[in-house]
Amino acid sequence: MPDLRIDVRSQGTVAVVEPIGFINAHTAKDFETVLQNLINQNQHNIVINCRDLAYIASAGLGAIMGFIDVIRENNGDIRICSMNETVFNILEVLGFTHLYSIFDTEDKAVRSFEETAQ
Amino acid sequence: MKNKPMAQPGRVEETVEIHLPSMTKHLHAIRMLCCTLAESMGFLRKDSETAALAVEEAITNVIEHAYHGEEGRKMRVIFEMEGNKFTVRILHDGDQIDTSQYVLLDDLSHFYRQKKRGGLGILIMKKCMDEVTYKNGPDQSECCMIKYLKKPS
Repeated sequence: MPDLRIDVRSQGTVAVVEPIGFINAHTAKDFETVLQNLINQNQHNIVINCRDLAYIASAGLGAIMGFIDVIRENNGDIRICSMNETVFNILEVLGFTHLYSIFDTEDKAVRSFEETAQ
Repeated sequence: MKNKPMAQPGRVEETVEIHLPSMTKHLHAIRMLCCTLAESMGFLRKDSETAALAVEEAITNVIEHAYHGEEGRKMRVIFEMEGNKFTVRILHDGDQIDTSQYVLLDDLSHFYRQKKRGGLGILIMKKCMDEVTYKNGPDQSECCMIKYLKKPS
């Protein structure tokens, strides 16, 4: 099994990014490339579905932080959902949960963009 | 079967030492080992995983900042399990890592306001471990991290 596979799909106007595996210094470049490609396509509403993300290290969190300004400047956002306990713990310890909107399901995360747009 | 006596202060009960080249592909294996050792001491899964993440971040810092991404340089990771004290030492002979610039960055909001990305690993290490210290010698540098097993309240 590869260290990281990343599925990307559309849910209406929202891009859902689903990393499968783990994101650390060895794999973060792939994750960063996926986010960069979405921004290049003017896709600024992004949900990161973490249901199959085993863990995320600073390299992955840094990628999210590195893109969030340009995304929010374009009236978009990165929203995170379906984290396991390991991923949630690290985001909570670092205070990510105060800076990013967290949802327990992908459906709620996607719908939150629709509610924001109304 | 008699219970094993408590560890004497200052006495290392068990040591596991790993030699590895400076390659990020080994990070996950070290993480798994760290997690297993911490759990064997009695740490909860949650605390074992945060300790393992801190170790992974420390090794990443060595690869990126001491060896500047050069692969194949030598690193040693030493796990010491002594009573309630879990010590992880990471040794390398690369450039010294200047941590002074990160002293004031105690929470993520600093990174966010300053649009910083570097140093996030050190913040993780500080948040996940009880003690993080650096020693720089002429031939070798060391990052030492300690996590204490707390008694259940």
